[in-house]
Amino acid sequence: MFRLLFRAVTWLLVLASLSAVTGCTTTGTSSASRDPLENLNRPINEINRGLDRIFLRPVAENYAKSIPKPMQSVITNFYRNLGEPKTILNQVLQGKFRIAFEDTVRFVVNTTIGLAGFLDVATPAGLVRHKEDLGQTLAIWGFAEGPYLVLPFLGPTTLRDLPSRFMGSVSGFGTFTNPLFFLDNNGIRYPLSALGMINARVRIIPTLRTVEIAATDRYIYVREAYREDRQFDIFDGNPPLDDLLEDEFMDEDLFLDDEGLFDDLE
Amino acid sequence: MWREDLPALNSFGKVGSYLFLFLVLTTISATGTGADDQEEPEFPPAKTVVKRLQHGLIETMKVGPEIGYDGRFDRITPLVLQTHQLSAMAQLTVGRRTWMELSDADKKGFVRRFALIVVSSYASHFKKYGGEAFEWIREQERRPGQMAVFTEFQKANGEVIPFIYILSDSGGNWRIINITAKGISDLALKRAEYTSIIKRDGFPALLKKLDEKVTETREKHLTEQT
Repeated sequence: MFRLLFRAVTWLLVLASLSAVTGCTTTGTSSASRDPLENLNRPINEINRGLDRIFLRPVAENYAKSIPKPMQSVITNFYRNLGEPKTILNQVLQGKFRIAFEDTVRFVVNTTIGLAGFLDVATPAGLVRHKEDLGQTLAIWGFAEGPYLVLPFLGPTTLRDLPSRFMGSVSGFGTFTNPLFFLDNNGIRYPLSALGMINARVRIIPTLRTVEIAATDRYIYVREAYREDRQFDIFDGNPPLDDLLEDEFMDEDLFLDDEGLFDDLE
Repeated sequence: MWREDLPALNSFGKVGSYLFLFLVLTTISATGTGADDQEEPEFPPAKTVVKRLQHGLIETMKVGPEIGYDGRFDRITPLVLQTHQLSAMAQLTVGRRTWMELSDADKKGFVRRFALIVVSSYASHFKKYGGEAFEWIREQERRPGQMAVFTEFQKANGEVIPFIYILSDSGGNWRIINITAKGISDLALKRAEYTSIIKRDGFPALLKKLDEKVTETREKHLTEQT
Protein backbone atom coordinates (compact mmCIF):
# COMPACT_ATOMS: atom_id res chain seq x y z
CA MET A 1 0.00 0.00 0.00
CA PHE A 2 2.84 2.34 0.98
CA ARG A 3 4.62 1.47 -2.27
CA LEU A 4 1.49 2.34 -4.25
CA LEU A 5 1.13 5.68 -2.47
CA PHE A 6 4.79 6.47 -3.02
CA ARG A 7 4.41 5.82 -6.74
CA ALA A 8 1.29 7.95 -6.99
CA VAL A 9 3.08 10.88 -5.33
CA THR A 10 6.11 10.38 -7.60
CA TRP A 11 3.98 10.51 -10.73
CA LEU A 12 2.16 13.59 -9.50
CA LEU A 13 5.52 15.30 -9.04
CA VAL A 14 6.59 14.23 -12.52
CA LEU A 15 3.34 15.58 -13.95
CA ALA A 16 3.80 18.85 -12.12
CA SER A 17 7.30 19.25 -13.51
CA LEU A 18 6.06 18.32 -17.00
CA SER A 19 3.48 21.03 -16.76
CA ALA A 20 6.05 23.56 -15.66
CA VAL A 21 8.52 22.68 -18.40
CA THR A 22 6.11 22.41 -21.30
CA GLY A 23 3.79 25.20 -20.37
CA CYS A 24 0.71 22.99 -20.67
CA THR A 25 -0.15 23.84 -24.24
CA THR A 26 -1.66 21.69 -26.97
CA THR A 27 -1.24 18.17 -28.27
CA GLY A 28 1.61 19.51 -30.36
CA THR A 29 2.92 18.43 -33.77
CA SER A 30 6.12 16.98 -35.09
CA SER A 31 8.96 19.37 -35.63
CA ALA A 32 12.65 18.82 -36.07
CA SER A 33 13.28 22.02 -34.14
CA ARG A 34 12.21 20.41 -30.87
CA ASP A 35 15.35 18.37 -30.39
CA PRO A 36 17.54 20.57 -28.23
CA LEU A 37 19.27 17.49 -26.78
CA GLU A 38 20.36 16.03 -30.11
CA ASN A 39 24.04 16.23 -29.20
CA LEU A 40 23.37 14.16 -26.08
CA ASN A 41 20.78 11.87 -27.69
CA ARG A 42 22.95 10.78 -30.62
CA PRO A 43 25.75 9.17 -28.56
CA ILE A 44 23.21 7.48 -26.25
CA ASN A 45 21.46 6.17 -29.35
CA GLU A 46 24.73 4.69 -30.59
CA ILE A 47 25.44 3.08 -27.20
CA ASN A 48 21.94 1.60 -27.17
CA ARG A 49 22.45 0.20 -30.68
CA GLY A 50 25.76 -1.33 -29.60
CA LEU A 51 24.19 -2.93 -26.53
CA ASP A 52 21.29 -4.19 -28.62
CA ARG A 53 23.69 -5.72 -31.17
CA ILE A 54 25.56 -7.57 -28.41
CA PHE A 55 22.74 -8.65 -26.08
CA LEU A 56 19.14 -8.31 -27.25
CA ARG A 57 19.31 -8.74 -31.04
CA PRO A 58 21.03 -12.16 -31.07
CA VAL A 59 18.56 -13.46 -28.47
CA ALA A 60 15.59 -11.99 -30.35
CA GLU A 61 16.74 -13.37 -33.71
CA ASN A 62 17.31 -16.84 -32.24
CA TYR A 63 13.92 -16.69 -30.57
CA ALA A 64 12.23 -15.65 -33.83
CA LYS A 65 13.92 -18.52 -35.70
CA SER A 66 13.54 -21.30 -33.13
CA ILE A 67 10.11 -20.69 -31.58
CA PRO A 68 7.28 -21.70 -33.94
CA LYS A 69 5.17 -18.76 -35.14
CA PRO A 70 1.91 -19.97 -33.50
CA MET A 71 3.73 -20.24 -30.18
CA GLN A 72 5.12 -16.71 -30.64
CA SER A 73 1.57 -15.45 -31.25
CA VAL A 74 0.35 -17.12 -28.08
CA ILE A 75 3.14 -15.51 -26.04
CA THR A 76 2.46 -12.11 -27.64
CA ASN A 77 -1.24 -12.48 -26.76
CA PHE A 78 -0.30 -13.12 -23.13
CA TYR A 79 1.78 -9.95 -22.82
CA ARG A 80 -0.74 -7.86 -24.73
CA ASN A 81 -3.41 -9.02 -22.33
CA LEU A 82 -1.23 -7.88 -19.41
CA GLY A 83 -1.26 -4.42 -21.00
CA GLU A 84 -5.05 -4.20 -21.11
CA PRO A 85 -5.54 -2.76 -17.57
CA LYS A 86 -3.18 0.09 -18.52
CA THR A 87 -5.22 0.77 -21.64
CA ILE A 88 -8.53 0.65 -19.75
CA LEU A 89 -7.30 3.01 -17.02
CA ASN A 90 -6.11 5.52 -19.60
CA GLN A 91 -9.34 5.26 -21.57
CA VAL A 92 -11.20 6.20 -18.39
CA LEU A 93 -8.79 9.10 -17.77
CA GLN A 94 -9.46 10.29 -21.33
CA GLY A 95 -13.22 10.01 -20.92
CA LYS A 96 -13.58 7.12 -23.39
CA PHE A 97 -15.98 5.26 -21.15
CA ARG A 98 -17.76 3.11 -23.73
CA ILE A 99 -14.49 1.76 -25.18
CA ALA A 100 -13.14 1.32 -21.64
CA PHE A 101 -16.14 -0.86 -20.85
CA GLU A 102 -15.69 -2.88 -24.06
CA ASP A 103 -11.99 -3.38 -23.33
CA THR A 104 -12.80 -4.45 -19.77
CA VAL A 105 -15.06 -7.14 -21.24
CA ARG A 106 -12.26 -7.98 -23.66
CA PHE A 107 -9.77 -8.34 -20.78
CA VAL A 108 -12.14 -10.52 -18.73
CA VAL A 109 -12.98 -12.73 -21.73
CA ASN A 110 -9.35 -13.23 -22.73
CA THR A 111 -8.18 -13.78 -19.16
CA THR A 112 -10.83 -16.44 -18.47
CA ILE A 113 -11.96 -18.14 -21.70
CA GLY A 114 -8.65 -17.20 -23.36
CA LEU A 115 -6.69 -19.02 -20.63
CA ALA A 116 -4.87 -16.14 -18.91
CA GLY A 117 -4.68 -14.24 -22.18
CA PHE A 118 -2.70 -16.83 -24.16
CA LEU A 119 -5.60 -16.99 -26.61
CA ASP A 120 -7.17 -13.86 -28.04
CA VAL A 121 -10.76 -15.05 -28.30
CA ALA A 122 -12.16 -11.52 -27.97
CA THR A 123 -10.94 -10.14 -31.31
CA PRO A 124 -12.82 -12.65 -33.49
CA ALA A 125 -15.88 -11.86 -31.36
CA GLY A 126 -15.65 -8.22 -32.42
CA LEU A 127 -13.85 -6.80 -29.36
CA VAL A 128 -10.79 -5.40 -31.11
CA ARG A 129 -7.65 -4.37 -29.27
CA HIS A 130 -6.90 -0.74 -28.48
CA LYS A 131 -3.71 0.80 -27.20
CA GLU A 132 -3.66 3.68 -24.73
CA ASP A 133 -0.99 4.85 -22.31
CA LEU A 134 -0.23 7.74 -20.01
CA GLY A 135 1.62 9.65 -22.75
CA GLN A 136 -1.54 9.63 -24.89
CA THR A 137 -3.62 10.69 -21.89
CA LEU A 138 -1.29 13.61 -21.16
CA ALA A 139 -1.55 14.67 -24.81
CA ILE A 140 -5.35 14.57 -24.63
CA TRP A 141 -5.18 16.63 -21.44
CA GLY A 142 -3.22 19.28 -23.31
CA PHE A 143 0.38 18.66 -22.33
CA ALA A 144 2.90 19.54 -25.03
CA GLU A 145 5.22 16.90 -26.41
CA GLY A 146 8.38 18.46 -24.99
CA PRO A 147 11.89 17.64 -26.18
CA TYR A 148 12.80 14.32 -27.76
CA LEU A 149 14.87 12.08 -25.50
CA VAL A 150 16.87 8.90 -26.01
CA LEU A 151 17.06 7.01 -22.73
CA PRO A 152 19.92 4.63 -21.96
CA PHE A 153 18.69 1.03 -22.53
CA LEU A 154 15.06 2.13 -23.11
CA GLY A 155 15.45 4.15 -26.32
CA PRO A 156 13.32 6.93 -27.82
CA THR A 157 10.74 8.92 -25.91
CA THR A 158 9.69 12.51 -25.30
CA LEU A 159 9.33 14.39 -22.05
CA ARG A 160 5.56 13.85 -22.20
CA ASP A 161 6.00 10.11 -22.74
CA LEU A 162 8.64 9.75 -20.04
CA PRO A 163 6.29 8.62 -17.20
CA SER A 164 4.60 6.23 -19.59
CA ARG A 165 7.92 4.61 -20.50
CA PHE A 166 8.36 3.56 -16.90
CA MET A 167 4.72 2.88 -16.08
CA GLY A 168 4.12 0.90 -19.24
CA SER A 169 7.37 -1.01 -19.12
CA VAL A 170 6.88 -4.56 -20.41
CA SER A 171 9.15 -5.80 -17.65
CA GLY A 172 6.33 -5.19 -15.22
CA PHE A 173 8.58 -3.60 -12.63
CA GLY A 174 7.37 -0.08 -12.82
CA THR A 175 3.61 -0.13 -12.93
CA PHE A 176 0.62 -1.00 -10.84
CA THR A 177 -1.47 -1.36 -14.01
CA ASN A 178 0.56 -4.41 -15.04
CA PRO A 179 -0.63 -7.57 -13.23
CA LEU A 180 3.01 -8.75 -12.99
CA PHE A 181 3.55 -5.91 -10.50
CA PHE A 182 1.50 -7.82 -7.93
CA LEU A 183 3.41 -11.08 -8.29
CA ASP A 184 5.31 -11.73 -5.07
CA ASN A 185 7.17 -14.77 -6.36
CA ASN A 186 10.35 -13.40 -7.97
CA GLY A 187 11.13 -16.86 -9.32
CA ILE A 188 8.17 -16.44 -11.67
CA ARG A 189 8.17 -12.67 -12.02
CA TYR A 190 11.74 -12.21 -13.26
CA PRO A 191 11.67 -14.89 -16.00
CA LEU A 192 8.26 -13.60 -17.12
CA SER A 193 9.62 -10.06 -17.25
CA ALA A 194 12.68 -11.18 -19.23
CA LEU A 195 10.51 -13.09 -21.70
CA GLY A 196 8.31 -10.00 -22.06
CA MET A 197 11.35 -7.94 -22.96
CA ILE A 198 12.51 -10.48 -25.56
CA ASN A 199 9.01 -10.74 -26.99
CA ALA A 200 8.80 -6.94 -27.31
CA ARG A 201 12.18 -6.90 -29.11
CA VAL A 202 11.05 -9.67 -31.49
CA ARG A 203 7.92 -7.73 -32.37
CA ILE A 204 9.92 -4.74 -33.57
CA ILE A 205 12.19 -6.76 -35.90
CA PRO A 206 10.11 -5.83 -39.02
CA THR A 207 10.07 -2.16 -37.96
CA LEU A 208 13.84 -2.11 -37.55
CA ARG A 209 14.20 -3.78 -40.96
CA THR A 210 12.16 -0.93 -42.44
CA VAL A 211 14.45 1.57 -40.72
CA GLU A 212 17.51 -0.19 -42.19
CA ILE A 213 16.04 0.06 -45.70
CA ALA A 214 14.60 3.55 -45.56
CA ALA A 215 16.81 5.63 -43.28
CA THR A 216 19.52 7.85 -44.67
CA ASP A 217 20.15 9.33 -41.22
CA ARG A 218 19.01 6.67 -38.79
CA TYR A 219 18.78 8.93 -35.71
CA ILE A 220 16.59 11.53 -37.46
CA TYR A 221 14.47 8.86 -39.14
CA VAL A 222 13.71 7.11 -35.83
CA ARG A 223 13.03 10.43 -34.10
CA GLU A 224 10.50 11.58 -36.69
CA ALA A 225 8.91 8.15 -37.05
CA TYR A 226 8.53 7.95 -33.26
CA ARG A 227 6.82 11.35 -33.10
CA GLU A 228 4.48 10.63 -36.01
CA ASP A 229 3.63 7.21 -34.63
CA ARG A 230 2.69 8.80 -31.32
CA GLN A 231 0.48 11.32 -33.13
CA PHE A 232 -1.20 8.38 -34.87
CA ASP A 233 -1.92 6.78 -31.48
CA ILE A 234 -3.03 10.02 -29.83
CA PHE A 235 -5.53 10.70 -32.62
CA ASP A 236 -6.73 7.06 -32.54
CA GLY A 237 -5.48 6.35 -36.05
CA ASN A 238 -6.75 9.58 -37.64
CA PRO A 239 -4.03 12.19 -37.20
CA PRO A 240 -4.28 15.40 -39.22
CA LEU A 241 -2.40 15.06 -42.50
CA ASP A 242 0.84 16.98 -42.33
CA ASP A 243 0.79 20.37 -43.92
CA LEU A 244 4.29 20.19 -45.25
CA LEU A 245 2.91 21.23 -48.60
CA GLU A 246 1.02 24.27 -47.31
CA ASP A 247 3.64 26.93 -47.51
CA GLU A 248 5.60 26.19 -50.60
CA PHE A 249 3.73 23.79 -52.77
CA MET A 250 2.14 24.89 -56.04
CA ASP A 251 4.82 27.48 -56.63
CA GLU A 252 5.22 26.94 -60.34
CA ASP A 253 8.63 28.62 -60.44
CA LEU A 254 10.07 25.91 -58.23
CA PHE A 255 9.10 23.04 -60.49
CA LEU A 256 11.93 21.43 -62.31
CA ASP A 257 11.49 20.36 -65.86
CA ASP A 258 12.40 16.68 -65.56
CA GLU A 259 11.87 15.98 -69.24
CA GLY A 260 14.41 13.40 -70.33
CA LEU A 261 15.91 13.10 -66.85
CA PHE A 262 14.93 9.46 -66.47
CA ASP A 263 15.05 8.34 -70.10
CA ASP A 264 17.75 5.77 -69.40
CA LEU A 265 15.76 4.34 -66.49
CA GLU A 266 12.50 3.80 -68.36
CA MET B 1 -40.50 2.64 -85.93
CA TRP B 2 -39.12 2.92 -82.43
CA ARG B 3 -41.62 5.67 -81.64
CA GLU B 4 -44.47 3.25 -82.36
CA ASP B 5 -43.02 0.85 -79.82
CA LEU B 6 -43.23 3.56 -77.18
CA PRO B 7 -46.85 4.67 -77.02
CA ALA B 8 -46.26 6.84 -74.00
CA LEU B 9 -43.65 8.78 -75.90
CA ASN B 10 -46.02 9.15 -78.87
CA SER B 11 -48.43 11.05 -76.73
CA PHE B 12 -45.69 13.60 -75.93
CA GLY B 13 -45.24 14.40 -79.63
CA LYS B 14 -42.11 16.09 -80.95
CA VAL B 15 -41.33 18.04 -77.78
CA GLY B 16 -41.61 14.83 -75.77
CA SER B 17 -39.18 12.97 -77.99
CA TYR B 18 -36.61 15.78 -77.70
CA LEU B 19 -37.06 15.70 -73.95
CA PHE B 20 -36.58 11.92 -73.93
CA LEU B 21 -33.45 12.22 -76.07
CA PHE B 22 -32.12 14.94 -73.77
CA LEU B 23 -32.71 12.76 -70.70
CA VAL B 24 -31.00 9.75 -72.29
CA LEU B 25 -27.97 11.83 -73.28
CA THR B 26 -27.78 13.42 -69.83
CA THR B 27 -27.95 10.00 -68.16
CA ILE B 28 -25.24 8.60 -70.40
CA SER B 29 -22.87 11.48 -69.73
CA ALA B 30 -23.59 11.45 -65.99
CA THR B 31 -22.98 7.73 -65.53
CA GLY B 32 -19.95 7.71 -67.78
CA THR B 33 -21.05 4.70 -69.79
CA GLY B 34 -20.39 4.05 -73.45
CA ALA B 35 -17.16 5.28 -74.98
CA ASP B 36 -15.67 6.32 -71.60
CA ASP B 37 -15.46 2.68 -70.54
CA GLN B 38 -13.58 1.64 -73.63
CA GLU B 39 -11.01 4.41 -73.88
CA GLU B 40 -8.76 5.34 -71.02
CA PRO B 41 -8.85 9.11 -70.50
CA GLU B 42 -5.67 10.99 -71.36
CA PHE B 43 -5.27 12.07 -67.74
CA PRO B 44 -6.71 9.48 -65.35
CA PRO B 45 -8.24 10.66 -62.05
CA ALA B 46 -6.32 10.52 -58.76
CA LYS B 47 -7.90 7.24 -57.68
CA THR B 48 -6.86 5.51 -60.94
CA VAL B 49 -3.25 6.65 -60.51
CA VAL B 50 -3.10 5.12 -57.01
CA LYS B 51 -4.79 1.93 -58.19
CA ARG B 52 -2.29 1.62 -61.04
CA LEU B 53 0.62 1.89 -58.59
CA GLN B 54 -0.89 -0.56 -56.11
CA HIS B 55 -1.80 -3.09 -58.80
CA GLY B 56 1.73 -2.87 -60.19
CA LEU B 57 3.24 -3.42 -56.74
CA ILE B 58 1.09 -6.49 -56.03
CA GLU B 59 1.91 -7.95 -59.46
CA THR B 60 5.61 -7.35 -58.81
CA MET B 61 5.35 -9.06 -55.43
CA LYS B 62 3.83 -12.12 -57.08
CA VAL B 63 6.95 -12.66 -59.18
CA GLY B 64 9.28 -10.94 -56.68
CA PRO B 65 11.41 -13.88 -55.52
CA GLU B 66 11.86 -15.16 -59.10
CA ILE B 67 13.00 -11.88 -60.63
CA GLY B 68 15.05 -10.82 -57.60
CA TYR B 69 15.87 -7.31 -56.44
CA ASP B 70 17.11 -6.08 -59.83
CA GLY B 71 14.03 -7.46 -61.57
CA ARG B 72 11.73 -5.75 -59.10
CA PHE B 73 13.69 -2.53 -59.45
CA ASP B 74 13.31 -2.62 -63.25
CA ARG B 75 9.58 -3.36 -63.07
CA ILE B 76 8.86 -0.68 -60.47
CA THR B 77 10.90 2.12 -62.07
CA PRO B 78 8.45 2.97 -64.92
CA LEU B 79 5.55 2.56 -62.49
CA VAL B 80 7.04 5.16 -60.13
CA LEU B 81 7.89 7.54 -62.98
CA GLN B 82 4.31 7.35 -64.27
CA THR B 83 2.60 7.81 -60.92
CA HIS B 84 4.84 10.10 -58.82
CA GLN B 85 5.67 13.79 -59.21
CA LEU B 86 9.33 13.16 -58.34
CA SER B 87 10.75 16.64 -58.93
CA ALA B 88 8.12 18.22 -56.67
CA MET B 89 8.70 15.57 -53.99
CA ALA B 90 12.45 16.04 -54.17
CA GLN B 91 12.28 19.82 -53.85
CA LEU B 92 9.95 19.58 -50.87
CA THR B 93 12.38 17.29 -49.02
CA VAL B 94 15.16 19.88 -49.09
CA GLY B 95 12.98 22.94 -48.58
CA ARG B 96 12.39 26.01 -50.68
CA ARG B 97 15.44 27.98 -49.60
CA THR B 98 17.95 25.21 -50.35
CA TRP B 99 16.24 24.36 -53.62
CA MET B 100 16.47 27.93 -54.89
CA GLU B 101 20.18 28.04 -54.11
CA LEU B 102 20.97 24.90 -56.11
CA SER B 103 22.31 24.97 -59.65
CA ASP B 104 20.29 23.24 -62.37
CA ALA B 105 22.86 20.44 -62.49
CA ASP B 106 22.56 19.89 -58.71
CA LYS B 107 18.76 19.94 -58.93
CA LYS B 108 18.78 17.32 -61.66
CA GLY B 109 21.38 15.22 -59.87
CA PHE B 110 19.35 15.31 -56.69
CA VAL B 111 15.99 14.50 -58.34
CA ARG B 112 17.58 11.55 -60.11
CA ARG B 113 19.05 10.18 -56.88
CA PHE B 114 15.75 10.81 -55.10
CA ALA B 115 13.98 8.74 -57.79
CA LEU B 116 16.41 5.87 -57.27
CA ILE B 117 15.86 6.01 -53.50
CA VAL B 118 12.07 5.84 -53.96
CA VAL B 119 12.30 2.91 -56.39
CA SER B 120 14.83 0.98 -54.28
CA SER B 121 12.59 1.42 -51.24
CA TYR B 122 9.62 -0.08 -53.13
CA ALA B 123 11.80 -2.92 -54.49
CA SER B 124 12.95 -3.71 -50.94
CA HIS B 125 9.55 -3.63 -49.26
CA PHE B 126 7.38 -5.32 -51.88
CA LYS B 127 9.52 -8.36 -52.45
CA LYS B 128 7.24 -11.39 -52.09
CA TYR B 129 3.55 -12.17 -52.15
CA GLY B 130 1.66 -13.92 -49.37
CA GLY B 131 -1.92 -12.85 -50.05
CA GLU B 132 -1.46 -9.12 -49.40
CA ALA B 133 -3.99 -6.71 -50.89
CA PHE B 134 -4.75 -3.01 -51.14
CA GLU B 135 -8.27 -1.82 -50.50
CA TRP B 136 -9.58 1.55 -51.64
CA ILE B 137 -11.48 3.42 -48.90
CA ARG B 138 -12.31 6.93 -50.15
CA GLU B 139 -10.88 10.06 -51.72
CA GLN B 140 -11.15 13.63 -50.59
CA GLU B 141 -10.19 16.97 -52.11
CA ARG B 142 -7.89 18.75 -49.68
CA ARG B 143 -7.79 21.98 -51.66
CA PRO B 144 -8.08 22.82 -55.36
CA GLY B 145 -5.44 20.78 -57.16
CA GLN B 146 -4.73 18.46 -54.25
CA MET B 147 -6.43 15.16 -53.52
CA ALA B 148 -6.06 12.63 -50.68
CA VAL B 149 -6.74 8.98 -51.53
CA PHE B 150 -7.34 6.77 -48.49
CA THR B 151 -6.50 3.07 -48.84
CA GLU B 152 -5.59 0.13 -46.62
CA PHE B 153 -2.84 -2.42 -47.07
CA GLN B 154 -3.86 -5.82 -45.76
CA LYS B 155 -0.82 -7.82 -44.77
CA ALA B 156 -0.66 -11.60 -45.00
CA ASN B 157 -0.91 -11.90 -41.20
CA GLY B 158 -4.18 -9.94 -41.17
CA GLU B 159 -2.66 -6.67 -39.97
CA VAL B 160 -4.14 -3.63 -41.70
CA ILE B 161 -1.98 -0.59 -42.42
CA PRO B 162 -3.69 2.63 -43.55
CA PHE B 163 -2.00 4.17 -46.59
CA ILE B 164 -2.94 7.72 -47.56
CA TYR B 165 -1.74 9.09 -50.89
CA ILE B 166 -1.59 12.83 -51.53
CA LEU B 167 -1.77 13.70 -55.20
CA SER B 168 -1.31 16.99 -56.97
CA ASP B 169 -2.91 18.06 -60.21
CA SER B 170 -0.47 19.27 -62.80
CA GLY B 171 -2.51 20.34 -65.81
CA GLY B 172 -5.10 17.61 -65.29
CA ASN B 173 -2.43 15.01 -64.66
CA TRP B 174 -2.69 13.63 -61.13
CA ARG B 175 0.58 12.48 -59.56
CA ILE B 176 1.53 11.25 -56.09
CA ILE B 177 3.52 13.75 -54.03
CA ASN B 178 3.39 12.10 -50.60
CA ILE B 179 2.48 8.81 -48.95
CA THR B 180 1.51 8.39 -45.32
CA ALA B 181 1.71 4.85 -43.96
CA LYS B 182 0.12 4.32 -40.53
CA GLY B 183 0.36 8.03 -39.83
CA ILE B 184 4.02 8.31 -40.83
CA SER B 185 4.59 10.74 -43.69
CA ASP B 186 7.33 9.66 -46.08
CA LEU B 187 7.98 13.24 -47.14
CA ALA B 188 8.19 14.52 -43.56
CA LEU B 189 10.73 11.84 -42.66
CA LYS B 190 12.87 12.47 -45.71
CA ARG B 191 12.66 16.22 -45.22
CA ALA B 192 13.82 15.94 -41.59
CA GLU B 193 16.69 13.66 -42.62
CA TYR B 194 17.85 15.60 -45.67
CA THR B 195 17.70 19.06 -44.11
CA SER B 196 19.63 17.74 -41.11
CA ILE B 197 22.35 16.25 -43.34
CA ILE B 198 22.59 19.46 -45.41
CA LYS B 199 22.82 21.55 -42.24
CA ARG B 200 25.54 19.37 -40.72
CA ASP B 201 27.61 18.29 -43.71
CA GLY B 202 26.43 20.25 -46.75
CA PHE B 203 24.51 19.37 -49.94
CA PRO B 204 27.32 17.33 -51.61
CA ALA B 205 27.32 15.07 -48.52
CA LEU B 206 23.60 14.41 -49.02
CA LEU B 207 24.18 13.38 -52.65
CA LYS B 208 26.97 11.05 -51.51
CA LYS B 209 24.80 9.51 -48.80
CA LEU B 210 21.96 8.89 -51.27
CA ASP B 211 24.36 7.17 -53.67
CA GLU B 212 25.68 5.02 -50.84
CA LYS B 213 22.16 4.17 -49.70
CA VAL B 214 21.08 2.92 -53.14
CA THR B 215 24.24 0.83 -53.53
CA GLU B 216 24.07 -0.53 -49.98
CA THR B 217 20.39 -1.53 -50.36
CA ARG B 218 21.07 -3.35 -53.63
CA GLU B 219 24.12 -5.18 -52.26
CA LYS B 220 22.22 -6.23 -49.15
CA HIS B 221 19.43 -7.75 -51.23
CA LEU B 222 21.82 -9.45 -53.63
CA THR B 223 23.65 -11.01 -50.67
CA GLU B 224 20.34 -12.27 -49.26
CA GLN B 225 19.42 -13.80 -52.62
CA THR B 226 22.66 -15.79 -52.88
